[in-house]
Amino acid sequence: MDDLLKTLRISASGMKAQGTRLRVVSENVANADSLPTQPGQNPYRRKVVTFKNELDRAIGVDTVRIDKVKTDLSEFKKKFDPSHPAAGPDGYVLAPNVNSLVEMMDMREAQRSYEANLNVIKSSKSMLQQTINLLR
Amino acid sequence: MAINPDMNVARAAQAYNLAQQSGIAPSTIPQQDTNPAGQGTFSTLVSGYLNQAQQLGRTSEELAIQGIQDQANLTDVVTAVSEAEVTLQTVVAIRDKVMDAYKEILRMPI
Repeated sequence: MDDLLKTLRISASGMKAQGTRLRVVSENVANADSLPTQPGQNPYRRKVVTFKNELDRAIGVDTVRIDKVKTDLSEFKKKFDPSHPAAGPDGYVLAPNVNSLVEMMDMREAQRSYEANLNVIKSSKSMLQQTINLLR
Repeated sequence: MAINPDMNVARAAQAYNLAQQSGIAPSTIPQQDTNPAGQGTFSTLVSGYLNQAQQLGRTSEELAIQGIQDQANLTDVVTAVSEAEVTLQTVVAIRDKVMDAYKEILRMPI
């Protein structure tokens, strides 16, 4: 297989991984206010993704894939809201450990990384086409 | 496309001979010089590329169908289609080049 065609596959795996990362970010953002329904229950716990390199034996290159979608074990936030059904005896409700600023940065990173992979695909495809055009 | 006739007649004749050997063109002209080393190279090249193009086209079609049915990743579909596209472009470009050589032979004053 041509190296430039391999490039297409590698970059595609990168784009797929960044897509999954963006999906997880969107889950975190959407659930930033998901509170528990009863006292003693936990609210939504933030998720994080880890990447891993994977040898594609068919073409002999390292592609990237999502290793695991783990949960962020940091402490929950506390919100003072005695009227909430899940409020404890002290009047505090546990809130998800999602920081929207961190999520925005993560989203931006995923977006830029996706664009980088997209540009690699664009340039390798145009290189291939220019080479073919030599024959015409 | 401007072709210098002096440059290309020899090449075209060679291509024509090769094509005759592989059975693509009808052998109306008696063969003069056979080149055992290059026997079947052109046909092997074309059939190899055609097979690859066919296979990639099939894969891309399958993935496109899966994509429509919401079973495949969009990135996979796009990659497969691009690969098939590039391979098909290569095959077409090579075929055009060879057809040019044949036309050059046909235009040759006898």
